Amino acid sequence: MSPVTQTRPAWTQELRENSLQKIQHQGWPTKKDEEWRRTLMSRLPWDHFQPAQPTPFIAGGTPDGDYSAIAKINDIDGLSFASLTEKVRLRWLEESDRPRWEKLLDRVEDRFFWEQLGDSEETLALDISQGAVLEKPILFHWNQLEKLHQRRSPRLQIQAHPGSIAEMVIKLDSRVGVFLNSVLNISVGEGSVFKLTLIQALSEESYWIDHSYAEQARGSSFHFTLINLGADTTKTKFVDSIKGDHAEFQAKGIYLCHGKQHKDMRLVQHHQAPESLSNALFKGAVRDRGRSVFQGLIEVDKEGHKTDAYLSNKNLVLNDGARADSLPQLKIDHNDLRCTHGSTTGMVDPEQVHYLQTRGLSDREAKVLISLGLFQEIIDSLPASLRLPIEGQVETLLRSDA
Amino acid sequence: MTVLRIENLKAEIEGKPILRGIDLEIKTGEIAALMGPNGSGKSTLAHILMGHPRYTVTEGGVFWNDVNLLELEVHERARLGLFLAFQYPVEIPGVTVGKFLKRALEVKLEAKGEKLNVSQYIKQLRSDIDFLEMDQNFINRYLNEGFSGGEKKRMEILQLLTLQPQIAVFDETDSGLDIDALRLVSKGINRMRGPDFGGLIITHYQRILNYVRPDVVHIMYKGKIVTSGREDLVQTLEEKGYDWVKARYGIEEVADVG
Repeated sequence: MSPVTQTRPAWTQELRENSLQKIQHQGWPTKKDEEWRRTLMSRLPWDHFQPAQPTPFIAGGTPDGDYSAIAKINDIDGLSFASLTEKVRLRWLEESDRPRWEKLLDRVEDRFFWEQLGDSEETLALDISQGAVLEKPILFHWNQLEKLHQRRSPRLQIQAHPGSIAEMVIKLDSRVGVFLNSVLNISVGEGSVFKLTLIQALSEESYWIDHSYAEQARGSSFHFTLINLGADTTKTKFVDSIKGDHAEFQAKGIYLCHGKQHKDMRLVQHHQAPESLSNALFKGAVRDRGRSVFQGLIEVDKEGHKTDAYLSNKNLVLNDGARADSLPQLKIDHNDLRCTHGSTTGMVDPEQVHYLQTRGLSDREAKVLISLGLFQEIIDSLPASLRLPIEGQVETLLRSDA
Repeated sequence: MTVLRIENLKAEIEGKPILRGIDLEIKTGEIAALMGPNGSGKSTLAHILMGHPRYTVTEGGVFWNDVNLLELEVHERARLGLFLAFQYPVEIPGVTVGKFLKRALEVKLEAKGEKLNVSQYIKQLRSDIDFLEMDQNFINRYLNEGFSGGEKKRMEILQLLTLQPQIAVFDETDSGLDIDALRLVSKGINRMRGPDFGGLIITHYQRILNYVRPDVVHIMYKGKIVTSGREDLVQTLEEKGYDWVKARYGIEEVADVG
């Protein structure tokens, strides 16, 4: 089992202080910020939630059968980590991590991001060793069990070192309302294959802001799947930068909005190297007064010749009053490439509903089945142990009363 | 016994009259054929029985024993035991045949306060798939997605065998089928035959009726049943064509008035 040491380099304190400085000059986002045009600050009651104490490390737990390593963090027990293999290590930041974080400082202009880095919560770093091949996924389970009105800022650096093959599942859960402001800093090393599934199933009195940045080295393959189920309001951004040639990025997403839920997602496929491939497929269903916003961007720099990029967004609007905004964009600095995007947003096909009704399914049942069908290909691509539970959760949400 | 009684049924689509007073009975224990040229309103009748929202009934009624069928929702009609084999079944991406049939069977049993025996269901489904000479992989395929015309029709018959309705309407189930597919589809319908099942086979042609021999035959023309008879009527019609029907039953050509 890998120990979690508690020595922290001085630069992390500097990083925090710099961030706190930035907050002084950076106001909250407004409608004038392009990425915030569809999510009003008034939906995010930041001040009603109080900053929480840093999470203590308590003890190692035991991985269960489905996972090769498990990290658990919650407001009662703190952090525990257990791994069946030396090839997965959890630690605090070290000197060598510094450039990875300093790079971000110049890139991001968002108050929530600075609040995140300015928060006292420590940054965890998870390493998958060079050449490691993990047969079972790593689980990182973050959970708010009982402390009310807390603002939490989990921050995780993930490094899939060169030549490794691994899957990881991050679950965000809560039993009580929490304001979660998270950051992921991911690097996928040369020739490695890394599959990450991020499941958000916070209580519906919760709020979730996320800033995640990934970098891919040459020949790497990175699969990212977002399962965005819970919370009152979510505003997330996931940026993948392909820095090495012949790398591949596969992004998928499922999101559901019911009641008055609001989910605003930004995905960036940024090609900065030649002959790389990216493919994004995000699918959502909105009902009641729910609203989703999907802002997808394919960005290709001048180095990105022979890029092959695709972005698809499909939305089902299950009733009048629900709304799904789909905003795919291309930003291309090159001719020698193939970039396409497609987006469909509409009601469930009444002929499909009718067909299922003639087999005895009610209007509601028919719509649940058709909506589940929309998500099936993404559910089928999840790690085996997640397929049935996620399908069950999605079905419950499609069925539930607002 | 269950009787589906259609009385003086008149209906239109977007203001255009299609059915001009249909009287017809479909009973358990009996297979009826409904023949007629294109545009006579046969498929419209099928869709109205099942409750397709595009059609409007303007007069008359449909009764399932003593129940006014037209007052029921589509799924309630299905749960009573009415089934429609579609001429053009729709594709439902992402919903596997196995999952769809399981759900359809579950709601049928739930309506009766019963629960589905899952292992029994799978066993029966596999045997029905074999019976229709379909590939077992159909269970995992998405409903009708990428199916050939013949596969779609066999899928409709698989649903018939699974759901075991009391009364089924087959809307041109024979259209576009090669001889092997026609044989299999007919085999499925014939397996349902018996005192607890009634069928209405809608068709242009005699072909399917050589395999599924009807107890009674109705001829429809311009929104009305113009004559009914026994199996020999099929033969007469095949030999003499629909002009004979017009002449024999004195139908006047009337311009369609919207």
